[in-house]
Amino acid sequence: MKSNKISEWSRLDNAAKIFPANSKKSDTKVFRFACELFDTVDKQVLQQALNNTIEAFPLYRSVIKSGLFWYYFEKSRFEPVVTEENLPPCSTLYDKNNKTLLFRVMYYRKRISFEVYHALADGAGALQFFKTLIFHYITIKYKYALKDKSPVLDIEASKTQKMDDSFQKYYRDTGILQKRKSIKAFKIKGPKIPEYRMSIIEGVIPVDKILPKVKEYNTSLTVFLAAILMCSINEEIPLRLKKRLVVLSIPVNLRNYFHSQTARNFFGVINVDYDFSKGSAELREVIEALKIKFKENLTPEVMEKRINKLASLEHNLILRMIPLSIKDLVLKIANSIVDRSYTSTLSNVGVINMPSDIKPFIYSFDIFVSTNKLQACVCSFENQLRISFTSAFVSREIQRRFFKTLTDMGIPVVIESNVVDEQEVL
Amino acid sequence: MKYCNNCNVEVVGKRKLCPLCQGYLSGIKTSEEVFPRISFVYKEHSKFLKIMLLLSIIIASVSVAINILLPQRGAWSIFILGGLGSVWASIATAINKRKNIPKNIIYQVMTISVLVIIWDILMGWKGWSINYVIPLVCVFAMISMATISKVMKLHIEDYILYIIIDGLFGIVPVIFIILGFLEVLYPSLICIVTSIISLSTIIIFEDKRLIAEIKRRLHM
Repeated sequence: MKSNKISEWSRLDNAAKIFPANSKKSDTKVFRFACELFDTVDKQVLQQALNNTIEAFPLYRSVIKSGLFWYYFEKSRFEPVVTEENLPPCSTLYDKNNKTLLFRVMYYRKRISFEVYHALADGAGALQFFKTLIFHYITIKYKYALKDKSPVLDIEASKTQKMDDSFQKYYRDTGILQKRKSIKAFKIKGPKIPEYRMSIIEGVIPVDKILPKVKEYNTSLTVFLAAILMCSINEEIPLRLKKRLVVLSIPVNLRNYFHSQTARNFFGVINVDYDFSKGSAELREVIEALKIKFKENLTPEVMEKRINKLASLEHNLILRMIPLSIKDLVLKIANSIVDRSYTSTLSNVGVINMPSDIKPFIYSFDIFVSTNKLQACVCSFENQLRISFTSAFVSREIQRRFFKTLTDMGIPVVIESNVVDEQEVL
Repeated sequence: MKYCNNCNVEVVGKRKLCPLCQGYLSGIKTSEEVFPRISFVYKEHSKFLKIMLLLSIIIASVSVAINILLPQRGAWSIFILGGLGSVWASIATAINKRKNIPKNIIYQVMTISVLVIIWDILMGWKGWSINYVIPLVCVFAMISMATISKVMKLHIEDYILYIIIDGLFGIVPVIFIILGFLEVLYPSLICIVTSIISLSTIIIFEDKRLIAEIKRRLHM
């Protein structure tokens, strides 16, 4: 269909700018939200729910195009289509030679999966879309069961608020953060899974079983899990590399620090490290050390400086005038340096809430991200905490040690995983 | 659900081994898999291309070797190397941009133009590249772009930029004519006239879209 309207376009937000230059088959920069229901998913209803949802999120109709100086979103004429899951998790969404929408919605048995290209949104932003999708699906599918109730989703943001580039809004030309001292981070090595596939291992844990343990250490869930992950990684470090620090990169949702309801990117990253060659490998000690690191880093002042550091580059006229192909090259080099500065990533998306009338139809939510290393994502729904590891490596020793630490504390764990080795299957 | 006695975890799915420790699982009852099983395809590059690549390498190395043994006839093997290189450069562009045909056409025009000029220089500059090849390639590109966009029902915004680039490129022979580089005029004149018509059509009928496209592509 031909329309006579001139296509709308918009700029990529500050954080999104790094993704097109650094997306590759080994790291597609795609993340997935999934929602498991109690019944098999109905394709038609899901398609209808998707059609309703996209109306409220106009940016999701975009493709990414490249200009002479910057990438930009251009509204496309593609219609999103629901498909049965037939791709490996987090497959490529952005390919500069093959324009497609920057998200996909799939279903498999009782699961609805929603994959997003990171330039479009971060976890908290994409979650708005996904919650709306699930909300529509359930209200359409179970309209008889819900007929006396009128559930309302807790997203009040207007279309403009969702399209908001909050990096621009909160940018002030203040002093920038001094350079972080460079540290040698331990790098996980080992054979990788062919075809750039990832192994996904998710641990399902009852919230009421893990929280008392977290309280026992007098800390937060994120610190608790980060410390266990660091200790599990430490066990894998060969003796000759013990001097290397274990560095975890932790994405932070800036919406918690600045008022914003954007459905796009608005996150920052902090790095926390621990030196096992100097400190004790005792979990309690690691937790105590991490508590201090988190406290130092997670203040509104540090966050603001971090926003300004990135945004000041974008506001620099000379840098803006450099052609895109050179920017791409610089961003690739910068990314490979940043990549070397951390060992692994832990991302806690937090509690996912749904209207109370909708909750009974949902079994669980989970989230995971593409990676060419090892990455953990955490989220919870009702009494179910899910820790999802994605990994490019064949070896699953770190994941095994991580969950072993939890089960040794008496916390029950159920493992869900994808099949990357056919020999493991009956 | 199956259970791993080693890791003390329950395991979802129809598994024989524990996904964590690869040990045998206990228990008989299985549950449904959470992810669909997607087998590895081990995608092979086209065998034809592989054979062609090997053949090219054989021809190139053998001809260089013979040339070194029999140097009386001059350095003819350079032309063989150049020819093979040109073909592969063109194929590489075509494969890389295969999903975006208008873009592919533009890249081909540029690749071919550069290659023929190099060839013309290597062969002692007879001027055939700018007399014939470049103008005709340009015209051919403009005609095929117009046809393909109609046949494939492409949206104007998907190819407007490439038509403009090709149109501007097609006007370059004006410079050659003014500077008196050309001995044969008619291919260049055809090319210039076609370019002017094609550019004017876009500017007259799609002015708003063109301005919007320029704004998008050039925003800082």
